[in-house]
Formats: sequence, structure tokens, C-alpha cells
Amino acid sequence: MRRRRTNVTVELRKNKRDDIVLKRRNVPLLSGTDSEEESQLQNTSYAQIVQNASSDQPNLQLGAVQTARKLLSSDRNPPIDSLIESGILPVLVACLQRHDNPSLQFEAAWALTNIASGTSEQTQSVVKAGAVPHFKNLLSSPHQNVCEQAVWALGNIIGDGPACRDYCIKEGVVHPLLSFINPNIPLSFLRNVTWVLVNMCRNKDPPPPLVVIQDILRGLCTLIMHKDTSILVDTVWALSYLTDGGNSQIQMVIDSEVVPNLVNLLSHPEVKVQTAALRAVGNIVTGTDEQTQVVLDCDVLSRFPALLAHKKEKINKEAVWFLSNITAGNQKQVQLVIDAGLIPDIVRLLDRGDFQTQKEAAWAVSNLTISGKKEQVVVLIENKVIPPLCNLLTVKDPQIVQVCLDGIGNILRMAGENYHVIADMIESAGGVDKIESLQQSENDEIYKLAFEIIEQYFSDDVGGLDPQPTDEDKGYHFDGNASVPPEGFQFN
Amino acid sequence: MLINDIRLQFYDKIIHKRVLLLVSHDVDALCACKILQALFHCDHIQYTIVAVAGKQDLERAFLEHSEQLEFVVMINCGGNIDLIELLQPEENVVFYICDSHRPIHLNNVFNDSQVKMLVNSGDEFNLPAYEDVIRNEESDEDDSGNESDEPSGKRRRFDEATLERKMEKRRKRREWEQNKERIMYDYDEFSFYGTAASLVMYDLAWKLSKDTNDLLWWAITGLTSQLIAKRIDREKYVSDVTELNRHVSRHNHRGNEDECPLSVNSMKISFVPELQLTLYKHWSLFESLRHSAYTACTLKLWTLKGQKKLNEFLADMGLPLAQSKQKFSAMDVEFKDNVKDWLETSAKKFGLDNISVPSFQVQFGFKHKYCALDVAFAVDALLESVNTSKSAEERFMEALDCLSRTYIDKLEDGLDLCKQQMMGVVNQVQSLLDMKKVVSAGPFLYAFVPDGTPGSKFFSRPNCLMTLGRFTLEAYVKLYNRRKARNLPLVVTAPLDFENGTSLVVGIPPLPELEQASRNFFGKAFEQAAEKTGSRTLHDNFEPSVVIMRTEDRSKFFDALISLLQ
Amino acid sequence: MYGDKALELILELKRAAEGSLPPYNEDGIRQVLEETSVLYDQNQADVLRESSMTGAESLLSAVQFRHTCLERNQRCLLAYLHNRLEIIKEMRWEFGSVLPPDIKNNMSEQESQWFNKYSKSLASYMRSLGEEGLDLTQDRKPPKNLFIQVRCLRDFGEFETEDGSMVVLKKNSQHFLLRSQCEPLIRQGILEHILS
Repeated sequence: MRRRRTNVTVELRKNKRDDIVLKRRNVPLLSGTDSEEESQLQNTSYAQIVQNASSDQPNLQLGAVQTARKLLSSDRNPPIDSLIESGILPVLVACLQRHDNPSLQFEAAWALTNIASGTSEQTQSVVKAGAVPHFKNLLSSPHQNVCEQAVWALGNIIGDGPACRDYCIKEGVVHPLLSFINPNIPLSFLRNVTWVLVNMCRNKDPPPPLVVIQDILRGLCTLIMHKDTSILVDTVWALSYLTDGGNSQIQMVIDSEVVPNLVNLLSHPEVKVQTAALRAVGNIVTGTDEQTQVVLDCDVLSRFPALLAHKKEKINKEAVWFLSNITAGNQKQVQLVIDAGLIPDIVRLLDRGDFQTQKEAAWAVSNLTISGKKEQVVVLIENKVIPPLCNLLTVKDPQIVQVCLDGIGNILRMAGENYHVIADMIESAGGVDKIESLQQSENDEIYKLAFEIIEQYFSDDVGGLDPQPTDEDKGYHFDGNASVPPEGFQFN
Repeated sequence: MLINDIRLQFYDKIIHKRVLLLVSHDVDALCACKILQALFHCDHIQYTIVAVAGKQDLERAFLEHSEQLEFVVMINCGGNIDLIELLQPEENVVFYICDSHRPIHLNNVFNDSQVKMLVNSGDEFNLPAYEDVIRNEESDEDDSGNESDEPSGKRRRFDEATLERKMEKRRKRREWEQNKERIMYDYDEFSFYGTAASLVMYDLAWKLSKDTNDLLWWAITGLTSQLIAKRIDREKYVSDVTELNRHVSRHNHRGNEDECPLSVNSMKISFVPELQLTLYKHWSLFESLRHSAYTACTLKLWTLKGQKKLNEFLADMGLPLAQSKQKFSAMDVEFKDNVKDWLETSAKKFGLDNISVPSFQVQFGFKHKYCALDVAFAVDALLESVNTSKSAEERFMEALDCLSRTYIDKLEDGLDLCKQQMMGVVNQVQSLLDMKKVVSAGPFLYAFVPDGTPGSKFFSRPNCLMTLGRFTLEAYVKLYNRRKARNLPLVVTAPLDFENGTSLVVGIPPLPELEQASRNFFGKAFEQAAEKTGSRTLHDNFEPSVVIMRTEDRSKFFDALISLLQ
Repeated sequence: MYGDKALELILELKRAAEGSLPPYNEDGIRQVLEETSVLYDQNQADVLRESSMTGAESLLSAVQFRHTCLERNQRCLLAYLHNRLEIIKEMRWEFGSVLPPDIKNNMSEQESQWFNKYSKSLASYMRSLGEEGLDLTQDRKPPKNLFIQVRCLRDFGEFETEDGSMVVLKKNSQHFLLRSQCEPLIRQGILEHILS
């Protein structure tokens, strides 16, 4: 019922225009011209650099390492593989240990950082060269630039994957890292630390050790109070990765009491923060009903009118995805969605949203028809959900067709004796023809559903039943006079 | 791509091929279509004609006929929209577009392979430089990291110099973007019209040495229709007329009038200064004076004073009232022959300096003599007829037919329809002015045609509504003569479809603009207002200042428009 | 009057509408033949009587008269039959080898047989022309132009032309196509020929 995120499918629109235009002209590249320095650099061979970097003459050595660093930090293709082949790695790792020469340590750390920023193979060659323990040591260096560079390097290594991450954890980097989270640290440094924490949380196959997650959570809870946008964005992404790892991890995040902050950030002025926060809370509500309730208790739904009307379609889509997981919950939770006045927005997005958003809305509506009680489903009807639901029956995505058919079937079933009020709405919306043609569908589930619906609700004569609700049916009331919006112009 | 040599780069390419011809619903397009058809008949180029009233029609027609199609020729449509984006054609399809709508969409201008614009080389396009609006994407590889939402897995540290370079690049890019926006804004701000499509086609015919009197007459009609709809100003009209006159002299040897007697099949065009009185030869002079915007508004015929002035004017001319109310063809011979000269002389005294306009008239055989203005009016009336039994395509076909000599009698129907239209227009203007229904909304004037009045059905057609708009604006400005009002534009709405609850909205630029440059900024304004308010609008017409809108969204749309234009 | 019946046959044929074949007037022919037979018998009788009497010149004019009527009847019959065959021949050129049923019903059996033989002759002659034969019954009048302008009166759908390209015949679209390809469609009422 509750659905984890699926990766965004490919956009359908072909946008040939740019291709066609750009192929024709021969506009000279606007990229930067060579500077004098770089042409000099290219003249020195790599072997020479490696050799000089092992020299015992301090100036020569520093100069060589610096040269290597500069080669690796220019914006064109850095010669990572060439340098590795020339044997630079052991040399650089050795330089890391030269506590007598912090500048050397700094340049070496920088060079290694950039090597580790490449492919997985390149990163792992840095690890194989034994760099990690030394980086860990550098975390205690008295020189801040060296510390920061070590943090950065470890970030790249940890970001390679669970194996590297766990290795670094074993080498004991977590506590020193977390200790950097204090009020005295400069902003750029803290941003780097936060980013490393994101990489720590990123992978879930396997997830980091529980203890580490706890420690990191403590750090994230502090960071989430920070005002800097970059830090907030990264912190919240880290939380969203953690909440993506199953219900027990979700519980840990909840226990860290960070959820109210996350909910607040849904209304942050920066879109990037909102996006991350929405993802995080969205992940949380894929958990159990109780976990979902925690988020709801923070009055999260009051933020949603703005999110559903946001001009960025991605936010609309994720917001509806969130709500679809609430409507899959218990009836109390469904009621909260209704009370927050969100049904009209959901129906609107079902009718006129981006296709990806419409898909999520279909789920939201369908889930409601399964979890909700009659009065709650009536709210859907009153908000004119039938026509857009019928419109989606003709899309090519079979899953969505099934979801919509399911929803329609559930609504009809719930109407009991008064089903023909709904049946009339479906007919006015042109849905009967669509359902009939779906009986020809290749998909088993779809044709079975379609067949059942037609057989049960559209094959008998509709004239006989009395549309007025009887006295026994207190509690719900299908308004037979509800005006059906006419089909007509499709406006942009 | 803008084509220089229409013969080499267009006609030679489609010889012996089959062509899809998409033609818009306006008189100029029809005339251009007839000229092109004649050329195609000569050279046995097979074609299919489909009439398109708007962008949706265009899309649909293209999709239906696109099987195994290589060449599409579009007349008065497609120039000002992003064609490739809209139609998503196969790579081997080539579009030849002869569209007088301006500005030409930049994607059409800079597309070298599939879109070719057939234009008159003398036109001004004010095109921005290529580099200013299209960016070569290759140099932006490093910036791509900024696009995704999630934080990146690995990051490289760049040195100072590189960081600076990147900042500089980013700054330059932002500057370029801002510059581009400014250029695009200036380019797109006003919509206007270039040389008539029929003139471009006639030019092609002349270059192929296949031009005849028939083709020339169609070119004349097309040009005249542009003048009537005030799509071009007087200056351009006069210069185009001079150009055409050369061809007229060539084809109709003026010196030999006595030697070439008229025969049933002959066709003779002559250059004649013509009065801008709507259909006066097929009506009575009195009615014509009342129903022509120029005379009606200048003489202020809405007021009692104005009507007295009209009588004075006729008296000054030396024309008895009874004669002026007679059908023109039934007037006494001595009046009929001289009325033009008398009118021109008197006109100056009453402020009607521009009453005369250089034009042409044609004589087919013994019976049919028409002036270009009349024909243009008649064809337009047929196109926009509100006879509900005829579909849009049928009206199109009828209008197309009446341009050929074989079906010339249909022109009479057109003339009748035009009279009805003009009477409807005048009545509506009268009612709007009498009931003070033209209100100022601040930056523009506003009027709406109420639903249910007998004449309101005419205004469900865009050209007719625009005629009403121009007439109303001119009448209002000249009547009230307030300095502020003189520079205000006008927005008019009329009910379109009662069942669907939609209205037609057109924007008329202020009078000075209309007279001098015919530039219209309402296209962009309507687009922005609709976007801001989420109003349900359909910008389907090729003329950007015409939109269809849900009646219930009207008020919030206009509020947005007011704040936009202030 | 003698010869009236025969004249009636001729008149019947003349009155018939252009290009249509009235039913084979079996009755009329039989009556004419009967009349002819009667005349002949009377003449026979008179001639016999004549030869037995001598000097009886009074019967000669009667015989002459009857003979003239006889010959007239014969001429009328022949004309009737001959003209009918001409009409049938024309129909072969107009309609092809299969005639519409109402015309078939109006032919006598011999006429049908004649028609079949004629048809076969024509077909084998046409086949012998050129390499693959030539259908002479098409395009009997030289066309003024190769291409004609047509307007589509009804939705027809896609139509493949000789050179393989597709034309979509939708109501109210106008096309310029090869005359030969449009003709069948014009006859079916799908396209309408437009003069320019």
C-alpha cells in the first residue's frame, strides 16, 4: 500500500530543436584559453614530478607536489591516471606524514583529494595506497587547512561506496569528524563536514552500523539548527537517506526528535531545502502507521496547501506522493487529510497536473478508496473526482490504469444500492466506453477488473432503483443533483 | 532560414514532387494560394490543400497528411510559432513558409535544415545576431553539476585560478542570459505584418515568367486586404501599389485602349485612385458614407451635429439627398460620373484628407467590373460568414472559388454579406457609444459586446470583431477628443459559444500606432496575463492579439492585464 | 395499313432515350413477320392465278404493291435489328464486358450471344496491340490536361497514387492529381472536379 520512491522515469518529450540548431553552426568554443602557467606545466613530465616529489630538498619537493596539485585542480581533464601510473600515490601518502612540513601535507592532501574524486577505481587506488589512516591522523592536525583538506579527502573516499565507508569507519574517522561540529568552526569547513556526513548516510546496501547512525544523528540534529542554506540542504538530504533504509532506521530518526525541524523546513524559502525536507518526511511516512502518525502530529498537513500549489512541478509530485502514503493509512489519518482541505488540490492535480504528478494523485485517490470509510469517499465524489479518474483510463501506463480502475471499482462498491449515481457520473464523463474497451486489454488484471465493473454495474437496466437514500442509510448521502462539469475545450 | 532566391531555393526544389499546402483563413492567404495553384498547374506539381484556422488545425492537418510527406508549404501561418517544437516532424520533412505575420520566430530563422521562410528581401526583420540568442552548449560541461537536486557523491577541489575562471564564466553566462532576455523581449514585444504573401507569390511567378493578369489581380486583392485590415500602414501600401502598377502597365497596355476592344474573355486591370468608401458602387452613397469607418468617425455621424454635417457635405458636393440615397448604379449618369471628383474636392474641406487611396479595378468581359477594395471586402465576408450551415472549410472553399473567373457570381453573395456585416458593426458601435459602454480601465479602453443582441453573432468571427474594435476606437477617440484617450488601446470581447461559456477577445493598438506602424503588443500581454492568473485561454489564432477565453475567467484576466500594462 | 407495325418498331427505337436499349420487341417482330408472310402468301396466290389466266394485267399492280410492302417490312426489320446491335456495341465500349442487368434483360438471346462474340473479338484484338495489349475503351476522348483539380466531398481515407505516395482524402480538402487516378473516384461521387 505504502510505496517507496521509484526512480523518475524518462521524460517523453523529444526536444530536437536544440540539436538541430546547434549541429549547424561552427561557433568557436568559448572555453578559457591556456594560461602561461599551464603550458609550462605540461612540459614537465610526470615521471619528473614524481621523482622531485620524493626529493629530500624541501623546496624541490614542495614545488613538485604543488605542481601535481595544480595539474589535478585545473578545470580541464585532470591527468589522474597518468599520474597514478607514474607512481605518485606512495609519494603523496608519504608526504601526508610529514608533520614537520604542514604545507607539504596540505598540498599532498589536496592532490590526493582530487585523485579520489574520479572514478571508483581511482578512489580505491588511493585507499590501497594506505592513505586513510594518515588522513585520520590529519584530522587532529593543529593546522586548520590541513584538517579541512583531510575531511574533504575522506568525504570522497567514503562517497565511493559501502566498502570504503565501512573501512573508514573502522579506521575511526567518525568521532573526530563529529567533533568538528562546534560553534567555532568556520563556515566552509562545516559545510565540508556536513557533506561528508551525507556520504556516510548515502548507501544502504548495507547501511552503516547502528552505532554510527546514532552518532551521526546526534550531529545532524545539531546541524539542522544552522541557518546556512547549503548546510541545511545537505543535512536534510542526509536525513532523507537515513529514512530510506527501512523502518528501524526510520525509528531511529524519529527517536532523535528531529522530525519537527524537518516539518518546519517544508516551508523554508529556499526550494532546495523544501525539496530535501519533503523527500525526508515522505520517506518517513512509508513506515508504519505509528511512525506516520508522528509526522502528522507535527501538523505537517498545514504546510501542504502551499506545496501542492508550488510552481515547481517536482514539489507538487512529491507532495502528492507523500499524501498518497497517508491516504493508505488508517481512517483517522485519512480524515486528517480531508480536514486539512487537501482533497480539492489532489483532485485538481489529478485533472490537470504533469503526468508524473497525475500518477501520484491516482494512487492517493485509490488508496483513499481502500482505506477510507464511506463518508470519506463521499468527499472525493463531492470534489468531482470521477471525470479526471476516468480520463486517466486511456493512458499507456498499465499500472496507473489499474490503479484508477481499482479506485472506480471501490467507489462503486462502496455506494452499495445507490451505485447508479456514481455510474451516471462515470457515464457522463465518458468513462463507460473506456472501461468497456479495457475489457480487451492484454493485461490480465486490467481486463478482469474492467469486466467485473461492467458486469456488475453497467449491464443491468439502471432505471429501477430509487436514487433517494433510505432511512437505514444514515450517514452518507450521494447527491444525485451534483452538477457534472461538461467536457469541452482543453485549455492550456 | 530566410531564403534569398525564391526560385532556386524553393520552386526548383519542389518541381516534380508532391506538396501539402496549408492555407490560413484570410484573404491574403487565399490570393497567394490561387497564385501558387496556377503555377503548380502549369508545372504539374501535385498538391493537396487544407485550410487551417489556427494552431490546432495546423497540428491536426499535419498529422493527418504527414504519411510519406516531404514538402509542406504554409501560407500566412507557421511563421511566428516554433514549428519544429509544435509538429515534431521527421527529419526529412521540409517546410516552406510564406507568412506575413511578424516577428518570425527565431527558431524558424535559425533552423538551417527544415524551415525555409519565403520572404520579400526588402522587408526589415530586425533580427538579433545568432550568437546573442543561441548558446553553444559544449562549453558548459562543468556547470552541469548544479542542475541536480541531490548533493554530489565526489567533489574535486579547484585551485584559485580555476575557481575564478569558473566564476567569471558563470558571470559571463548570466550576463549573456540577461542580454538575451532583453533582446528577445524587444524582438517579441510587438507583433506586426510584413509584405503580403500574395505579393511574394506574384514575385515568384514573375521570376518564372509565368505571371499573368489573373495572378496580378490576385496579388492586388491580397495587398488590398492588408490595407483594409490595417495590417500595413499607408506608406507601405503606396509603395507596394507602385510596384504592382508597373506590372499592371506591362500587362495592360494603356496606350492601346482603343485598339483592344472588350471581348467576353478579356480581362483588363487599370490603376485608379479609389475612394475609401465601403462598397459604394454596390450600395448607395449615403449608406456607404455611414458605414465606412473613416467618414463615419471623422464626421462623427453618431451625433446629431454629425448628421447635419453629412447633409452639409453632400450639399457641398452638389449631390441632392435623393440621389445619394439611391443605389449607386441607379444614380443619374451625370452624378455618377462626377461624384468621385466632387467628393475628393469637398472632402478636404471636411477634414477627410485621406479619402482617396491608389488602387486598381478590373473588368472581366462585358458585365463584371470590380474595384480591388470591393473584392477584398467580399471575399473576407464570405470567409467570415455566420451562416451556421457552412463549416469553416466550406466557407474557405467558397471564398477560394469566388476568386476565380468561373465562379465570379459568388462575389455578389460576398458583397451582400459584407453589407450585412458592416451594418451590424455600425449598429453595434452606435449602441456602444450611446450607452457609454466603452469604459476606461486605466491603461486601456474596454468594451464588450453583450450577448443575445441580434448583431452579436457577427462578432464571433475574429476579423469582424477586429473591424468592430478599430471602428469603435476611432469613433470614440474622434468623438470625445480627449488628449489622454487618443493614445489608449482598446480591448473588445464578444461572446463566442454560449454552451461552452467562451468569449473572443481581441486587442486593438492605440490609433497613432495603428495608423503609422500597425504594431500590436497585445499578443505578449495576453499571454502573460493568462499565465499569471491561470485563466483558461486558447491562443489558437495565428494573430497573437486574438484569444479565446472562458467567460468566467474574464475579470481576473483583465485585472492582471491592467496591472501588467500600467 | 401495311407497314405500320414495322414503322412502330422503328419509332420505338427512335423514341428510346439516348444510349438505352428498349426491350426486344419479340411481339412486334412476330407481327411484322406474320404480316409479311400474309402478303407473301397473297402474292403467291395471285401470281399463280395470274399464270393460269392470260392477259390479266389487273393483278400485277396488286402484286407489285404487296411486294413493295414486303420489302419495306424487311427493310424496317433489318434496320431495327441492326440499330439495336449498334447500340449494344456502343455499350460494350461504354460499360465494358459486363453489362448492367437491366440492359441484359432487354436483349434477346441472339443479341446476347452476338454481344459475347463481339466482346471476345474486341478483347483479343486489344490484347494483340503492343506488348501487353491496350485498353482502347478508356480515354476515348483526348483529355485536355494530365492533372485535374478535385475537391473531396466525403471522407475517404488514404489513397495510394501510382507513384506510391499517399494522399489523404478528407472531406473539404482540395487536391491536384493525375486525371486517370481521379476518374474512378469522380464517378463514385467521392471527388468533385473543380474548374479553375
